[in-house]
Amino acid sequence: MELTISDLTKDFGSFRAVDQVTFTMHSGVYGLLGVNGAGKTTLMRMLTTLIRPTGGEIRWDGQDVFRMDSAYRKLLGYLPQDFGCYPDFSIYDYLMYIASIKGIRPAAAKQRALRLLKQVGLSQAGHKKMKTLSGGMKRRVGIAQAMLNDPKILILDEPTAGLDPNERIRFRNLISELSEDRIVLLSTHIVSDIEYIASEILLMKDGRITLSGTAEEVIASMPERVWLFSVPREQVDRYLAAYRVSNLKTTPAGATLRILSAECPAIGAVETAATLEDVFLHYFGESAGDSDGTV
Amino acid sequence: MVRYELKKIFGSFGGKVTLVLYAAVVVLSCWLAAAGDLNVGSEWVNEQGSRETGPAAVKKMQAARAEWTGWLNQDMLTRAVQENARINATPQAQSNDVRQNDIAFGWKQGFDPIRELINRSYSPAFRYYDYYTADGITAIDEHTFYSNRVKLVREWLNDKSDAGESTFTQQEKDYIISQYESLQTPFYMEYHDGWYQLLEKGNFIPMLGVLILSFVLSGIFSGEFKWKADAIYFSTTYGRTKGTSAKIKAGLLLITLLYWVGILAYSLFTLTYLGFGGGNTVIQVRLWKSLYNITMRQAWVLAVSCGYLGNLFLGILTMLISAKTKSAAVAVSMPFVVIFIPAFLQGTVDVLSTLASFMPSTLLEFYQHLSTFDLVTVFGKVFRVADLCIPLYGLLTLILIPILYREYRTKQIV
Repeated sequence: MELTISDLTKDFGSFRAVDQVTFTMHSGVYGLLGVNGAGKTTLMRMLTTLIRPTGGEIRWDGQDVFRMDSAYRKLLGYLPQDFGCYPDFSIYDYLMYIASIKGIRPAAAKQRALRLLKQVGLSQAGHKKMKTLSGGMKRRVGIAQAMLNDPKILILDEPTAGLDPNERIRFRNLISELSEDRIVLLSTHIVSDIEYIASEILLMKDGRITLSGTAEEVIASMPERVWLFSVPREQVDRYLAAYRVSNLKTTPAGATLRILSAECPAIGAVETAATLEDVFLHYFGESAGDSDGTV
Repeated sequence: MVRYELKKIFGSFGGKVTLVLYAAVVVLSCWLAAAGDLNVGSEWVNEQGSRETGPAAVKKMQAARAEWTGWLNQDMLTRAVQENARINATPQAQSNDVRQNDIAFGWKQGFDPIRELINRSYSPAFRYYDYYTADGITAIDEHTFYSNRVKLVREWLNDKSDAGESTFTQQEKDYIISQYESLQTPFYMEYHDGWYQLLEKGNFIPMLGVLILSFVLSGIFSGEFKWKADAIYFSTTYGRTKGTSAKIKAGLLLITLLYWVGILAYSLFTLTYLGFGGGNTVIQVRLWKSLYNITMRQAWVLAVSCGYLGNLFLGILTMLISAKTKSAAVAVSMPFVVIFIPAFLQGTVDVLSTLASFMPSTLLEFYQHLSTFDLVTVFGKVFRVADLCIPLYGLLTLILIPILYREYRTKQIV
């Protein structure tokens, strides 16, 4: 089980969305971390054969996936970032339809659909029309459809976007449950989505994979150190302007700052262990979490 | 998969409205056949000069025409001329009172189609028509009656002061005359109003049907994009292959089922109401100038087959445009454009007028083209509309299907 991506490039006119990306995936959860516009969705769309690359190749166990065509897609489960469904289908009908175009026989599809509905907590809602579902329920249907064919490669593009904190945690746990004996590639710009479940993290910026490794390796690779200290209110702005601040907690006396800096930023600052969020801030800087401020 | 594609269409409010509209067109066609102002066969003028409609009127007309059933030969022509003269001499026919005139007209209903043919045959010129021409005929000759048809068209084609002479090539003129000469005579006359009505008003369903159908057909392929279901659809095992085939099959099934259910319901209703008789009557008893030497029943088969082909062609074209543009709005407007283009081309330059006759809309109102002289010469051979349109659009329809399949199969989802 090996999915190899070599020099994968995608140009849209003069804009290069994905730039010579190379990496290999084996069984496990891969977290693709990057800000909006980093090229994550384009990369995933090539991995799902939705768009053809301008250059480079994707190989599954040595075979070109575009040549494999439907044989490759048989191995795929995909949950797009912004997906819709057929509004007048019930959840059950929707899953049965997706099962049919995934080539699953009706009897097996029925069993699998009912099992997955239970797994995603929708067993009582199978009759509900898709147009009546909340964002969270729709995401759960999305993951159920992606899992229908028991895919070897599960690609999830921003699966937690728009979910409330509870749903996000439930979703993360579900993905962790489903990750056994398959490749799961999960893209997000929310660090906490992958911090605890990804066996490998890929940092993507401007169409390139800038860093990859386990969470520990990625954290260890950061050249800066992380400092915690409290400052009076009137000094907060000065520190915000001079340093990268990964967290600011207001206190009655002023604020407690979490700062990235190679040197000790202030007397009394205590060095603390870096987290993935600090790494994200280090590599993506000011653009990190632009869309919703979630880092 | 096909079942789910149909469910996508008819699960929506728009799909259900389309079905209701289609049914309404069929019902409207049937109503027009039975009682509408446009009907041609269910009106009877009684002994009091009043107009009657309904099944009883149909029965009376059938009975009156039954007396004039048989070969339209010397005997029957003479009988028609004599009867016409006898009625014209009655006080009712001579009266200045319209009601009295109507009574006299009522007596002519049995042989009215024959009287109409005499008007055509004894017309002074090919493109001249006078309702009272037959009233001036006192003696008639079977040979002259039929040969006048050829004589008049020949004169028109050679008349330098008329359009006929310059419109056609010599080869086309020869073809027209040869078609006229090869028409078998004498005609066999019998009550045929059911078939005539079928043909006259049979274009409602093909024409309005395809416009209504285009609303659902345009959504089959573009729906995936509209609903943002495209990324999942195209990443599945069979989305690009069997899924695409299922969409095409659903479209073809939809066109086929709705068209044939509509046409057959209309035909069955009309023939049941107006009578099944007269299917073997040649169409020249109503379309005196037609180049098509076929019977009413053959004309119906040809017209409904062409209607089906037109629906298939335009339906597939609609699906192709929706697949190409990912938009239902653009696709749904295509049949409207294609149907109405000929209206703009007709009456312009000759070449464009001829071209208009070979547009797909011709297939939808094929009966109307049975009486036209739309000819084209290709590689030295003369073709009529049907000769070219059927194989041409049959072939194009067959070609469009793999193009549609390939278009959707290779779609990139950016």
